[in-house]
Amino acid sequence: MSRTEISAMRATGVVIANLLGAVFFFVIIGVFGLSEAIVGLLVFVSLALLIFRRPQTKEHNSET
Amino acid sequence: MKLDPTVVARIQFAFTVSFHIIFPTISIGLATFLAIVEGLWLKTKDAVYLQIYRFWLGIFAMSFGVGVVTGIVLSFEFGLGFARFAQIAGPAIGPMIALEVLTSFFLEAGFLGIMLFGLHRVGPKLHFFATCMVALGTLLSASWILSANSWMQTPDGVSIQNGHVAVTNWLNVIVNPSWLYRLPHMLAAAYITGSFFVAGVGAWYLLHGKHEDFGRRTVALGTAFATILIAGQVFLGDILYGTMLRYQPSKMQAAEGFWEDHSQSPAPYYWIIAPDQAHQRNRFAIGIPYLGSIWLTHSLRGQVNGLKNTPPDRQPRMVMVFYGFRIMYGMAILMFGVVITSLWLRWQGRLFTTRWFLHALLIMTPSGVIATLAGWYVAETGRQPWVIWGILRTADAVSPVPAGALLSTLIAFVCIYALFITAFLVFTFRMIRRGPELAPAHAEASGSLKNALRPQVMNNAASSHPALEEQLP
Repeated sequence: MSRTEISAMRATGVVIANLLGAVFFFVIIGVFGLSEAIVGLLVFVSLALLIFRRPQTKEHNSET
Repeated sequence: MKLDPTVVARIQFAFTVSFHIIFPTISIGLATFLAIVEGLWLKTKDAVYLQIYRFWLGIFAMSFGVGVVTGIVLSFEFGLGFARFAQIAGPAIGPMIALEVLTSFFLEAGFLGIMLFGLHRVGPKLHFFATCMVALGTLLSASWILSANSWMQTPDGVSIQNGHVAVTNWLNVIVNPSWLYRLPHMLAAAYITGSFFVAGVGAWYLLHGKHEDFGRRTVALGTAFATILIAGQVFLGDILYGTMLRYQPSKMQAAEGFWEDHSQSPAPYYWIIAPDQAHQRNRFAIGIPYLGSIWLTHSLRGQVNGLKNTPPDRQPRMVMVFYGFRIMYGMAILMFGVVITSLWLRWQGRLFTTRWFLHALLIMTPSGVIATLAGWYVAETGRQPWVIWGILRTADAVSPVPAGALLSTLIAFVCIYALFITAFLVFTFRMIRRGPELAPAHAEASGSLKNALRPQVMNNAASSHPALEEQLP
């Protein structure tokens, strides 16, 4: 896969992640109700805690 | 030109309290961060945690010091600029300020010395206990101040006798209707401020290829804390919004930028307006269609109440409240976007190597301070024209002193605070530039003024304590 394709895929990934984040934002601020906001907050925190456990690369190999 | 003492007193208090709030916000956030990091060091024995602790301890100490000094000034300003407020509200406000001193200041004063200078002199567990007590002290301090300020926003538990406040129920004064909502909102703001501060400095090291272990760990910790906290803050913010809509409708009406009794349906969410308070209208307004109804009424076509629901002589200045709220909320949205991006990069394993994201973290370093300041502007300007909501107007609370006296002290405050902020920034940037490896485990007593003015905080770490030397990376 070329460098340009990797960059495009990563940019798309960021956009999709932020769209998903926007959905969480709307849920957490209570647009769909208080109980849904609490559930949304708990799901968000649980997902975040899972993601925190993923190993990270240390080399400076990304300029995108 | 004839100066109005009310205006000068308000400008003076706004300036000094705006300056002051920056430092407790940082120190509350950093104190808890330090307690967590020291706890992690004790649990894992990982030397990087000790290095992080020692590095941030110096910056915490400076912000704590400036916060205490500028906080004392505010107490004196009650007498200088708002003596009538002190006379009328003293029976309720005075004991809460005194309790802040008795509980938090005594706790902090008792343990701060051990925290700053005791790493070699007491055992690690006692030192950790001291750090936790200082963190608890900052939390208690915030609780009392928020209690006093929330009582001014939503007064309860008092009656008015002979023009003075008389406390009828202390529990209702302390646990007033908005305190339970505003306290967690403020604490979360302070912790978020600390998180972005820490992550931003870590990002700077990674971008410059220096102290990379330290940088990676602080970016990981800072973004992790920020992720959990900003989500919680968004939730708390919405709950607080509903509470303030109930108790201070004019504040929230001004914050949304609508004038008519009911907005159009669906209501847009305004981002830019040019309010004309005299004619009770906006000269122009730019917003996003439907979003006002969705965010503010949680429905697709809900209407938002405008400021004309409040009589003109009881309205706050819309321009201050609106833009304070937009800056705070805008920063929260930006922070949320940053933490979502950090989660995506963590998922891909590229959190420490994506340079544009590290640049974004660096830019976001002061975001918590900006959002907190804007939030306080909403709280204070939105309460106008009242200093104690529904009880005492700000214009009636000012001291009977000439405007010139207030102006001269304001000029003095500006000059002295300029020195404070310059010194804080110079020493903070110097510490950051020198890096964490040179941070000693404690501040060295120099014994001379010349050396005292050239703090030894960042000098050679050369620790004489063998147990700690083993921990040095």
